[in-house]
Amino acid sequence: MPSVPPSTAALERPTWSGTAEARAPFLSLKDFEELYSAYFHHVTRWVRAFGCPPADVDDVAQETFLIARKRLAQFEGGNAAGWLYRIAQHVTRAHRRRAWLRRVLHRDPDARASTNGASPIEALEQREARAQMHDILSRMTERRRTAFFLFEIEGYTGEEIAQLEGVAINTVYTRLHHARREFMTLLARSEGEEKTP
Amino acid sequence: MKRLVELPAEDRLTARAHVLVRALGSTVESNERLQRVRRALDAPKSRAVPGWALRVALAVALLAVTAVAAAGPGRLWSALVSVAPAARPSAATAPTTTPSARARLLTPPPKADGAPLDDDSTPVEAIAPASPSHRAASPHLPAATSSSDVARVHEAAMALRHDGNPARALQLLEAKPVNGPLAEEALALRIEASSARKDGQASKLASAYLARFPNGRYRDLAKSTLSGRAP
Repeated sequence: MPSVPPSTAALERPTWSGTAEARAPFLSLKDFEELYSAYFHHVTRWVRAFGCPPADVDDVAQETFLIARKRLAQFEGGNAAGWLYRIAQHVTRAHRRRAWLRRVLHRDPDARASTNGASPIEALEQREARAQMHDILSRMTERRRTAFFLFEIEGYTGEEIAQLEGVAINTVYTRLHHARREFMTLLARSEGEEKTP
Repeated sequence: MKRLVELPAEDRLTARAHVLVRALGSTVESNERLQRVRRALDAPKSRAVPGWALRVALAVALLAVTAVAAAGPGRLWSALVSVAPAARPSAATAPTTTPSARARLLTPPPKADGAPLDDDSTPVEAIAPASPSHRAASPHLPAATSSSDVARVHEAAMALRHDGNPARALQLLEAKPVNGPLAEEALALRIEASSARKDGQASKLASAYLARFPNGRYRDLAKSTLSGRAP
């Protein structure tokens, strides 16, 4: 069972949908506040699914909303979640491109993973499991990885992912099917590699 | 469609997959985090350098490095001397013109304020204190390659980490303020360099860092500098 399924109420029952008109010409700052409150936690999940390091999630979410606020007037209403999702995707990609330089300049701060009060052995096991998971996910294609992460880890439904990605539900299930198969193959390979000295 | 963790762990691999999925865990919702990022959205932020500008700067830096590499050392030297004639009198006052003395003369002095050094073994620096024109003539300060923030920060990082020369790193970083996406890295590098030099500026820089980037990536470095521990 998943640990705690995330609240997806904002996606199922949008608290913010632009204006009544399908093509709202302008949105006020009040709309931004509603947008922010309704989608902040979703954005943090999305950027994680796009492969953002945990330590940078807040920064990327902040940048996403900065861009959203700047472009609010250009938003034509409708699928606010999909609109934000695409902004978050672009921001995360740009962030990952810059990440290599940060790694060159400084020792990677993400290496300090939180232990959440676990014992040293548990913490070590958790860290190893997370590292293995990141390694496997990094070998998957972006589309499959994102669908897999949103569905298996963050607990989104297929319909919600379809809404975010702007694709048909069957496309999402196809991606999930292939993603899971690829994940299990990579996991088997990873476990096999671990066995060999 | 059932989730992976809802499927029965019939084999070892599926059981391991459950462990891995649970180890990563879903994102924890936090109102404190929501409010913190919301506050940061309204905080004044230095203007980010657009991506195209960064690319142009990198291309220019690359061209400059190629040009410098293509030029012979002798031609480079004569070009530098002709560009900065103010450096010549200082060089002329040097008691010796041996290659090592010249190299030391051209090396930026270890103290940024140009104070004369007590050490008798370093007379060249005392005779020729640093001046802006002198700095401009130094072949160790390739102005062309540091035309972009990226090149400058990278060079400072190399000076600090690779060459173990914090004075040079500070000189590069303080020559011109670094703005944009690397501002945080530049400030963190200055803290490290100041700590290495023990010039008393490190805590001031650390306070500035924490004020500007309260949740920054290098806050541990800043905090440890403020508390007097070695980073």
